[in-house]
Amino acid sequence: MNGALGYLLVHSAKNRLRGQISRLRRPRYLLAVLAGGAYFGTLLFNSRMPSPLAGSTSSALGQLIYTAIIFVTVASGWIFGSDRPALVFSEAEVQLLFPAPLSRASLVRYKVAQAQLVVLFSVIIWVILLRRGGMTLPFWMRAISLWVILSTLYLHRVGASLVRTSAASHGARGVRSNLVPIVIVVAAIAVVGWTIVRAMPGVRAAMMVGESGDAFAKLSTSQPLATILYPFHLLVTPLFADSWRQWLRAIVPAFVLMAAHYPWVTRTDAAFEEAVADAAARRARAAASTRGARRRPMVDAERAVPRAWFALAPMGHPAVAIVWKNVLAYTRTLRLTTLAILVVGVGVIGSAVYTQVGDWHELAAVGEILCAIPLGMLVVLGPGFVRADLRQDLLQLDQLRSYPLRGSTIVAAEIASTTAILTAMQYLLLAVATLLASYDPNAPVPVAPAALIALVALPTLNAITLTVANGAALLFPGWVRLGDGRAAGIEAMGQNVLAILVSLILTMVALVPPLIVATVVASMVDAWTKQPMGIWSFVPAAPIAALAVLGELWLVIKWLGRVFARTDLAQIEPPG
Amino acid sequence: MIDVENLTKVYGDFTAVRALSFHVAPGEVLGLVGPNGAGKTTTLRSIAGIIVPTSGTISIDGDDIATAPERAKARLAFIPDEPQLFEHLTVEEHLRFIGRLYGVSNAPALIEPLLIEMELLEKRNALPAALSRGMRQKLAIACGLLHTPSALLLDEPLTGLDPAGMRRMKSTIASRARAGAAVVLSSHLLQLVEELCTRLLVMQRGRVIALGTFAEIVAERPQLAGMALEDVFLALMDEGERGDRAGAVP
Repeated sequence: MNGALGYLLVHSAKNRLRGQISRLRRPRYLLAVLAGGAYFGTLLFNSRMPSPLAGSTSSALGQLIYTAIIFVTVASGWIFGSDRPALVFSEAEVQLLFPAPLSRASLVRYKVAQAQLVVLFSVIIWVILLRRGGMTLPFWMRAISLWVILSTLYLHRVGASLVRTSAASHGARGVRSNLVPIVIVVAAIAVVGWTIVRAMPGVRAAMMVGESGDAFAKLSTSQPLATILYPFHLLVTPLFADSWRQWLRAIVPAFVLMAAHYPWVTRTDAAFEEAVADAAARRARAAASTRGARRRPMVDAERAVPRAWFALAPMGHPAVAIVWKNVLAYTRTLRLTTLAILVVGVGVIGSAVYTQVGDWHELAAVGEILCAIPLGMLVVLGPGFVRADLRQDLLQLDQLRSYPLRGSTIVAAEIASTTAILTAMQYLLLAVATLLASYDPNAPVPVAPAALIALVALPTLNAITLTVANGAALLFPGWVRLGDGRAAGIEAMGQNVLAILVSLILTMVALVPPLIVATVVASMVDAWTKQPMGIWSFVPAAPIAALAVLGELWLVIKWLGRVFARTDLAQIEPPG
Repeated sequence: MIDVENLTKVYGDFTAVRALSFHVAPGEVLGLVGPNGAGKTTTLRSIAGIIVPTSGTISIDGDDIATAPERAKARLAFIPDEPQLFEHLTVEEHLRFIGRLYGVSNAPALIEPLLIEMELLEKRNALPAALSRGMRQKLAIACGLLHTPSALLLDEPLTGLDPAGMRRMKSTIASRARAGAAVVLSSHLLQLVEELCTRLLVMQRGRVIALGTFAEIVAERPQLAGMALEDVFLALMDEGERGDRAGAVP
């Protein structure tokens, strides 16, 4: 790499680390680090303490799950990825490096090297989280295996985004020049999809008798699936090696696969340069609109602005204005093409299943699963992805603080914004799942009470997790990503998993009192009706438990409001 | 009106503003001038309730910004040097949003005239990313003016504006002051300060060097008589430096 770029890389990393360390002078950061360090240290060195993800990686099924996750990650990058290059350059890099006499390849190398910092951090997190779970390798071998996986996935994501960028900006010519990777990927995704659909009745039958693992394992070794999944399997194999000889035999091909990505990424650098030039032109037309000009605006200034889908009345509670602003902002960032692909994809899968099984009940059962999976993902991962709240607005703290509202009112409005968005999405999936379940005679739970409980539980759970997320942004603005930019790609998943884990732990703690309340109320209902009502007894318990949660949140938000009013701006930006 | 009493703001071991006191009456335009790092922005942010002062009191129309922040903030507008806008709201939506926040019942009727005044009517459906630096500045100012504040805090309000925009902005500020607003204007443009401000507050390293009308400041320092504002400003900075060197300020 160019010496100046190496200097920039090393000194930026050094100064960043110094900044992070200096934060530890603040008691709250120090306490958090000590608590986190104690937990993860115990996890790493105490072999009796179970890993939070233990069990997920055992045996051949573990390998299959990892292979599937990597395949889905790669495929979703191609299908849903951005049409802009994954090589993100900061404003300073654009202004100082692009006019400098540096080759395109050296810029790519610089970015790849820079990403290694994130990859290495993720490796550390994953090594700790996957400490056990069927892996018998020493710690450093697991670290190298994970490094190869994450680095390959990063390079692949960059390569895929460059192909997409080229195709999007050059139309047919762009598609032609990238025909080989596009054809390979489209064919692979289609074949995998079709094979799974064909095998669905058998898999479902196996699931009914508790042999789903074997069914999936058999499916993955059948042709043509085995051939398509081979490169993904190749990457995962070193992680599951039983001996160092086996590991050595597995790591070499995985390493070759990673190395093969490098020339692919640098070969497409012509498209990268054009895309970056486009981005620079966009920036010239549209300077940063927030004070946090360190991040480029994510909005395409030339795109027609969709109309607000609900009007804001001029009078009423002012906090509603903040909810309106955030919901509007979120809906404007939604990519309709992604939604269209999802709807079409679900339609295609549904039709394919129907042609295979020819049974509406079977189709309904598959539909339930197709709704339940994203619903579950939205509950767990949604608060990390939908960020139309303080995580977005905190960069404009000056503006927020100048509003004639209490700190707690602003915090509550910000949390309510994302809660409303997430709940609306979940309700949509819940409605479809409930409808489908009513056609499924083998539905796993009674449909009506489950749906009624979910109606109350989903917004309640969202409010808790989002209070945790917003509280983290307020208390630790130096650690939480603020603004539109969020770390993307599996290489940054270590950080995301860490955040999710912390959030889950705090959510669990917050759920203890309402769960006790719900259990007591349900028992009282059973006692009153003089017969066990099963899940029905939790229907009246759910809103009462939700009230208990509201009480908890009210106290927490009052406290966060005081933190908001006193947050040190220096943690977010230097004092003026 | 704006009342500031003994305002002090300390960051760690650095004192950004030191025992600052002043009063701005309705219709008055106070020019806040000083070199970079003098504490001008910190002063404005403290008055706006964005920064919590280390000590001292600030009140807007009699409402203390610390004890009655909502009432005080409802009557003031702070327009920062770098306009802060929401990137997913259009120009008009910004104004509707601000109207609701500040409870401006006739906001829909006020928006169009304000957009005309700020020459933003054609851009009413544009997102901030599609606006030039000057237009974004005008939008920030429009947001600040919508609720007809009685205290107006402006930090470098002419940044990014073209000559015609500057002239229009000066006229807007003057007309708001004539309508009874107490204005505090921070700027490095001494010509603007001279043209608009009825009084000056000269700051250096967080403390007051001079406060009063131009004539009063010069009258206290006969050696400055006959000098232009720029020369007076530089002489005051020298005076401050000498005071610091002599250890006049602890």
